[in-house]
Amino acid sequence: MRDFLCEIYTEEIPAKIVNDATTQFKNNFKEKLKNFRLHYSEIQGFGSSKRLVVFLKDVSEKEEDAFIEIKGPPLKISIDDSGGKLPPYSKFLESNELNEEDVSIKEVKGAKYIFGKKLLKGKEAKEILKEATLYALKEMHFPKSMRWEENNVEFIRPIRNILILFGNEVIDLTYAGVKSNNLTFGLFIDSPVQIKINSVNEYFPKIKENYIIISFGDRKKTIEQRSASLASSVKGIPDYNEEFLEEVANMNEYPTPFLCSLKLKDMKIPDCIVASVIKDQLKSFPIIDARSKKLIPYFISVRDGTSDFIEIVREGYQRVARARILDGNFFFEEDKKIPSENFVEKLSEVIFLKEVGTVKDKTDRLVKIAEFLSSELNFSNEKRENLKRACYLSKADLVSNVVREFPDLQGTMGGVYSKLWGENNEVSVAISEQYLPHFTDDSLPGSSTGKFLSLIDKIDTLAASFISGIEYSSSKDPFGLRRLGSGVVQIAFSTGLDRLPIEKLIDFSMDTFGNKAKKEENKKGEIISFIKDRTSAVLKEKGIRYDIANAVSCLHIDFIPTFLMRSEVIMAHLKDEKLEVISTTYKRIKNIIEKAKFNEIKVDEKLLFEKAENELYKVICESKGKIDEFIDSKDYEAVLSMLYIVEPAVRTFFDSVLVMDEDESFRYNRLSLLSNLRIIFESFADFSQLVFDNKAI
Amino acid sequence: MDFQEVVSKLENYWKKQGCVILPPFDEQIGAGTLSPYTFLKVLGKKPWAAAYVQPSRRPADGRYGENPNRLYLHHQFQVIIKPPPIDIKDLYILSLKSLGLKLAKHETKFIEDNWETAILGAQGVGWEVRLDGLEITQFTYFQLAAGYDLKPVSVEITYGLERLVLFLQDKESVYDINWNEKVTYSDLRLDMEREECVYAFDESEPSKLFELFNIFESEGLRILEKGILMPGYQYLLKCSHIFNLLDSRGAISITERVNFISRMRKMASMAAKIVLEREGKDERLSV
Repeated sequence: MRDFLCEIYTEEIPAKIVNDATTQFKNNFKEKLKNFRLHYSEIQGFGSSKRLVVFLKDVSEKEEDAFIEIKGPPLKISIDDSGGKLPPYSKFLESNELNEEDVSIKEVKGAKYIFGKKLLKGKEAKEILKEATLYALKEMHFPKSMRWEENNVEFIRPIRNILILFGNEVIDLTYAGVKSNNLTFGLFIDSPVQIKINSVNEYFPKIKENYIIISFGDRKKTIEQRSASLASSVKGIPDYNEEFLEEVANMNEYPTPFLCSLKLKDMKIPDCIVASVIKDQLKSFPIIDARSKKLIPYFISVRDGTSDFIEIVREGYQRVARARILDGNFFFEEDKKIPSENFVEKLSEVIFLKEVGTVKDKTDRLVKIAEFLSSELNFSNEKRENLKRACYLSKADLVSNVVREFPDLQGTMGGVYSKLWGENNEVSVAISEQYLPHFTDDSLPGSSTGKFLSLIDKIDTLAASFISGIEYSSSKDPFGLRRLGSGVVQIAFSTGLDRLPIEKLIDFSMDTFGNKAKKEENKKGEIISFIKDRTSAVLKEKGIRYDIANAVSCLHIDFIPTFLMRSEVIMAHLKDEKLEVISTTYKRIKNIIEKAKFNEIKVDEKLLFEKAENELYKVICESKGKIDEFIDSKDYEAVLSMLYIVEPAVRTFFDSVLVMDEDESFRYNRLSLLSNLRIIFESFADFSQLVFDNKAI
Repeated sequence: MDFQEVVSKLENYWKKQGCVILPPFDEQIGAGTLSPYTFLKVLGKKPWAAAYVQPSRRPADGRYGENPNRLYLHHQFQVIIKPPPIDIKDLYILSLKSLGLKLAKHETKFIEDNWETAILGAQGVGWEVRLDGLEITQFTYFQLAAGYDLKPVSVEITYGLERLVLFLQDKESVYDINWNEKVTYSDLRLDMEREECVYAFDESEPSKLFELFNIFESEGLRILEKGILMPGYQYLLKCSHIFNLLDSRGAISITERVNFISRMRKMASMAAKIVLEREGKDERLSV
């Protein structure tokens, strides 16, 4: 048994790709090795900006031998009655390199056949490992690959060295013009540092000695811990999210965080500009006051290297930060001189989508949709005017100098400017929140106007994209349509409304495109089913089981605001026996009605003949009003309890009454009863979607 | 280290790596990539290695000489090598040593940065190089030019000379840079910088510029159609500069912009086609 290690040494892999590349490389190995009977005790993958590593522990020298059974010719043509061997017999032995003792006779579907037991010699581990390495490299997929050498091999970045060791032996292979060896490289301090690795067990200690932290987790921990203590030395906390931390951890092989100070004196520069320079340009962490959450004039940068001469590096980072912030401030001062109208007018020079015009056109559409939504939801005059104003100004900052320099500040700067333009707080906050949420679990717009602005903007963008025929799929979604759709859903959840006229909103939004949308009648349906799809996806991300997500997603799209609450109630009652009972009962009702192709709901009391149907009718009449009330007040717990109460009457009805009576009038009346029931059940969810018996996980 | 010293050190360094050292191409050029020494040479299979200073005019970046970092005209030092040497990244980092930098005292970091040039139908994959946080170089493997997959690819290294010298001289404004012991950047460039901006933003006449664009374009197309490369390509460079001037004047609407780009793209494609056709017939090196 020996350990195996393969290190692909590359030029800098984009930080956001490193973790995925590490996983792919390891999984490809694993997948390939499954095809062999080669034993190993453990597989590990590591990655950094310059290397991808796979480590296999305790690999056997050889693949295990195995026997396979080969079916030969039928017995009767192989061996005659006296036991004599006929030609097909010896041919079979010969062509499969078998001996007499490997042969047995077995019956297949009543006929006897000759079978041979053949030994499959295990391959040498070295051969398998070589094959697996080549496979793992070839089967890597990246969002954007590149070519750099004469074979035109594609990879994320140029491969410059390949180390492959099996114990202390180099496994020879060549890929992308690089021949494998037992060399690697340490941290570049003054010149390239070449290290010879004599056997696998030397690898980890030796690269560590040469300032390479190969484990992502270790790099991340170093940065987190050191940053926290540096920030606390100036009474603050570092401000970063997990994704950004991952990026920084994968930008450095030997991360050394260090504290920088911003010497900006008393300049009034918006925090968002300062934070953007620090994060986006310098890939560093702003520091905020733990209580007020306001920026304090320090930040933390991370050097790829040791702390030697760190004061020189610090000086450089501080200078860049200062120059870029002053630059940003210069643009900010320029923007302050421009009135809001000029910005909005300038939007007519910015294309939104080629097929549907400029950003100014979009702004005009948003204002129209705002007007429409305000009347639909009976907004007060003040609320309506705020929303329209927010829509009108929402995109103004796109043509500001600051946003041209700092594109990530779109929206945020709009909020800052609208305050300067004298807009009220509701409007400026709404503008600053319009692009939220950026991802699932991102914060949502907090203000009511912000929510509706964000919703209107997203619906308009979806409509524009569908009209323009923009494609999307799970692997390719350049315009982020799926993210927008999820945003619509999350915002709908957060409105707290019992219904939101989403269908009409889409309808109206399509109309705002005038003739462009005319030819696209079917697009409306596409958008609705797209949003429903996103609803299921968001529910699943929130931990709702898929069948429950499906059960509520069957409701009309306007009820989306309540989908999460409904799902959560069902989730909480999954263990109730009664839940399964009402699901079964509902299925039965649905089947009967659908089979009878019946859609009347009028019940004639005089035709209620049996006791059980009378009872059921009474229960329906009594519960219907209550359930509607509970639905209106979004008390879904109460709705479910009501359904539990209704259900026994339905069962008794089924037990004692024949629905499909020969008499048409009885039959229709009973079907009408069931239709009423169906409506009651479906006001909560499509219970037939639920899966029981632990079938759903 | 003086500005002119940096240029000669870089020239010396890349000369030793086998590059042809060229004077800047004598046209108004927006970026080193547009120079015929880059765009026309990355096409085809013939090896090529060159380095040159490229004064780059970007009218929209002009600030009348009032901003310490933004310039109408800045200087790039461009290195272009086909095919790229295996150790090209180390070669680049070591070039910084030749400028007297003690690498152990600094941090160099390569951060993903890919570019596209629409008028050339060109794409590159690579990084921006940061020295103690300051972006000093674009380091790119050219993948596509005039819509052709480049085989072999070329490596393009573009040093931003002003940035680099600011760093080396520890200055905050480009105008304070020492060009040599006696002459500053301001002495040499400030008046020109102001005047270029006055022309670009205030005095240029869009109608005249549109006219010029049309004339340069039609003459360029006429020449390129005859298979005459360099004179034709130079008209594309003129068009590109006129376009940049119009753009900085805010005289080009969105629909026009797309239109102008595709007109220039057409000239670039014709030039590229000539280069590739000639390569088939001509066995000489592409120099």
